[in-house]
Amino acid sequence: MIDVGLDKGYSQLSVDAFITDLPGTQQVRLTHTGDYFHNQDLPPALGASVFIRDEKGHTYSFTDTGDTGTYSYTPDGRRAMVEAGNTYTLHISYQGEEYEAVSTARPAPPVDSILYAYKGEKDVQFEEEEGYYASFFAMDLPGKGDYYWIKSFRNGIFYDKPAYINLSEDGAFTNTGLDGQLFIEPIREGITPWDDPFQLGDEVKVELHAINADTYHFLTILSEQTNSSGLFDPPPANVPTNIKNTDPDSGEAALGWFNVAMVSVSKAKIE
Amino acid sequence: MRKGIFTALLLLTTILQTFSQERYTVSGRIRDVADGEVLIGASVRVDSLKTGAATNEYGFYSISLPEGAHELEYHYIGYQHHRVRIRLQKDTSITIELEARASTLEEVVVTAQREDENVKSMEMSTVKMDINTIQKMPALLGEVDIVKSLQMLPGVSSVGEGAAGFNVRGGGIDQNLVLLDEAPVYNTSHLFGVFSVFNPDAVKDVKLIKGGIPSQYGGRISSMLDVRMKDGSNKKLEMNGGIGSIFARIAVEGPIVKEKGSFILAGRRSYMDLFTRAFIEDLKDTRFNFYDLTLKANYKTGKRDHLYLSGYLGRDVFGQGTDFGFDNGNRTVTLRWNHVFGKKLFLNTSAIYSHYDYGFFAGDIQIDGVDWSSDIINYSVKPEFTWFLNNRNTLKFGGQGIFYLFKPVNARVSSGTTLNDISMDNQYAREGAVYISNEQQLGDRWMLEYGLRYSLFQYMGDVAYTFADTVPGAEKRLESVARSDSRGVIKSYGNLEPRVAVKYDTGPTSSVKASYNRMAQYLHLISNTSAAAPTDRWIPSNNNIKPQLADQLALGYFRNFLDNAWETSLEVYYKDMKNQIDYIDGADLLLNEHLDGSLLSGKGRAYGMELYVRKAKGRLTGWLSYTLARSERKVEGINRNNWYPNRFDQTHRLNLTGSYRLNKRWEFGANLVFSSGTPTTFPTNRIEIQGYVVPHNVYESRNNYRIPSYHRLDLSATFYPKKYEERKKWDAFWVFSLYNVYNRRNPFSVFFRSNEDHPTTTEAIKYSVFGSVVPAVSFNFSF
Repeated sequence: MIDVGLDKGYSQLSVDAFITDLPGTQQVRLTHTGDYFHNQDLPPALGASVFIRDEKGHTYSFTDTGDTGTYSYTPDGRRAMVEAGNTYTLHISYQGEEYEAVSTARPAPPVDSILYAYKGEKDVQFEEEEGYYASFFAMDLPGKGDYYWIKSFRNGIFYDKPAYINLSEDGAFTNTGLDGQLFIEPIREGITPWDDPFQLGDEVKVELHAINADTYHFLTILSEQTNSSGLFDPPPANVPTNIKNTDPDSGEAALGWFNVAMVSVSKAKIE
Repeated sequence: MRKGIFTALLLLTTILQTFSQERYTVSGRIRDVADGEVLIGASVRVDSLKTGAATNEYGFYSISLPEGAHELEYHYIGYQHHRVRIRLQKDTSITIELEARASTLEEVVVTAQREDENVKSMEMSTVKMDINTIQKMPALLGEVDIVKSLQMLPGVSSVGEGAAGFNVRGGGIDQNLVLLDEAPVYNTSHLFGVFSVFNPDAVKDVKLIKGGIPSQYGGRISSMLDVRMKDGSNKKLEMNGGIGSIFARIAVEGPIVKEKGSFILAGRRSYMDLFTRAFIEDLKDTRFNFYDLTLKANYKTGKRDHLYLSGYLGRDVFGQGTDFGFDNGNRTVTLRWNHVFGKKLFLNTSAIYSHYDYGFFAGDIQIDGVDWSSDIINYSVKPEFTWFLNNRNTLKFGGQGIFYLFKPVNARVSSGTTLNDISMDNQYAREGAVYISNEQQLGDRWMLEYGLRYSLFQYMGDVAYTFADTVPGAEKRLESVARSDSRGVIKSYGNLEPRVAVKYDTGPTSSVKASYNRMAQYLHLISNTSAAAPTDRWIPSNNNIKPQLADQLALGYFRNFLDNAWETSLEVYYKDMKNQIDYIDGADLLLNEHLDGSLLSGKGRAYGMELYVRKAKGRLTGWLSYTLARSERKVEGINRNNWYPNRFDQTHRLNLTGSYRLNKRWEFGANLVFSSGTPTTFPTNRIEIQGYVVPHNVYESRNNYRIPSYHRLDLSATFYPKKYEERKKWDAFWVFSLYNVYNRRNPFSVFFRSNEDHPTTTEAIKYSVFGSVVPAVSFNFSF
């Protein structure tokens, strides 16, 4: 670790809007970007008007009741907000500027099963820790162009390190051309971190998020930029954004990302 | 154009005028008396006529003299000169064997001979290193390394310690044409760049041309590194070898038929894995080694003909049982035929094969596995004539034809038990070149070299993609695909590459030299990481990717002092580069059929000043080099379309290397290295997305900061034990070395991340390749 001084930037509106069809409250978080080394919560963007409108004309309002910058919407249970093939537009009005972003919900294939096996002292390789190594089994949907973000949880807690980001194009890595097959082994096994595997009694949960193609690209760059190792890194670059100011002449630009995903979930208990 | 033809005719007339006198030619080769190795760049002089000639890459010389009595003097640096008196009445062949000056205390005696090659020759921006010099320099882990030694010279650098390849005058690592006995070497590294692929036991000498590049070389825009292998002793069977910290080495050389032909076979292999496997049960399935084999044989088939065969095979191997494996390496074969027509026309024809590949596998390909390989293969024929027209003109002309086969990805992957072929299309291309150049002496003080090269490159498919234009920095959208296996020409590029150099003697020990050259490059290494990886692949120019072009101007002043004991030079250069390749953010370079759509094109410029001071004689020898330089790029879509420094740009670079001979037993060496920090991109702000803290630069800057500077001291001591010396049959020496003596943690890069335990806390990390002092011992022997 070393001390370095950084150029002073300026603050911008940042949007963190990953909407899913999972039951419960959906959130859009609005913040102001902070200095890179300012190790505190980002200042919330308050007083914005936030809603999502789908192509069928339904509108879903997101409200920030506690002035935290987190704007929420809770489906009333009569009709699902997220449907396969439906296109959604996020609208944000903030400090006199109007922002929009678009995403289309795509179906996720079911997670058929989760298997696990114990790796003891004799089985672990390199930096692997001993423990239960779980894999999920799922088939990629037929037709090319399906993108996934596989999120893994232990006892309900998300494995949140950047190194664990597990993405897939058509059940494989980028540009393989595979389609409609079983997810390839490294992605199946990617739900278990080598340095923090499951232990007896843990609950494994896998969420298979069907994301948009440009979200896959966004998360790929996010993963590259947050997993530097020093020797074989691509040049530092900004993650892209799909949040657009509706007035192309406005000087105010927002950052961040909007995606609507359908998710399939599976759980298993390590016994 | 008409004016150009007129000038050419005028020059030709002056050339031909010198024919009118009654003159004869003395020609032959200059060799080392000990082992019969030909000496490259050795000279023959006739002082009474103020004329002379030098040997070419095959040790051949030719000098034309008037009828009568002459005294010829043969010289080579580090060798005793030799005088021959002749009465010239007809064309005469004289092959001379020179003896190396005893390398002990006698070196202190300043000899009377003029070792002023650096001042008197046409070459500028050129550095030669003989293997003896390289072997005396302190080396990382005691392993003598040619590419690392080059980085002690002015104008040569690297993006960081342990990185693959080298950068010359602000050029990328793929802009150097690296030739091993004329065969191109596509990857110069073992172990990702820690060592280079050339086995020093088999190398005779090394020449790096940074500017004023002569017409016979082409294909890369920054430099030409010519590594020549030893021919092997044609007198007696010899063996030498050694054990260092990394490699065990052995080389055998000797005559095939005494005085007519010889061979050398040299091999080295890392041996760490043999130890670990023997002692650590857990590692018995682990593969981790690198090796190379070098073979050369030559045979004189007649008075006028000489055949040479060279081969190289190098490999890096990593893996774990049947779980996974990775290997990569080069292999090359060169067959050369020297023929002398009459006394003045020398022809070398080379047939060359070169192949670089890497491959890996993981798992079982029948169930959940992958196997993958990638290759670049080329075949080439290169006839080159040297016509020693007269003492004032040496004409060189010839050509080259190259056929390329690229197999970007040849791979299968299985998921469950379904097997898929995910290979990419092969690509084919051919490259041709013709050149002519003349080196001409004008009066006593002027010397000119002028030449022209024409290169032609043809991309032949199998596939051509067309893309739609888009905003700079974004991926281009595919418009159409044309596929054909007829190997027709899809896209052709031709380039005229003029090369001009001039030398003016400003005094008996000083000269001014200037040069201009244009270079064209049709192959590109696709690499977007700070250090190049063995998986980076070469791609041809095609309908989307234009050839890289460079124009370089260089000017230099050369002066020797104290009877050539001190050589100095000061050079400045400016280089303008076109069609430089860059990448969109997040580009997939590995398995991307539409790679061209992810590439950006820009321009580059590099300029600098290089100072070189060398002490060539005495107990203490060595040199100081200082480089002040800048290398920049301008690419639409990066850094808001403004100029930015290249990742390997270093403002200051200072190298000091020396070797001191104390007595017959001990010799000491030292390196002192300083370089400014390389640039990198620092963020200004942070964004949070789904809990991840993501760095962001609001100005979209590229390379807006410098990492801390690099400096290092290395020491070495060489010990020659007495007993071997007395026995005479044996010779041996020990080398003790300390790399990074004062234990500095030099930075390779600085990067940013979230703290492992507190994801919202961010930190800057300084990454070092060698973070401590590295001691080493090696034992070397010969008999």
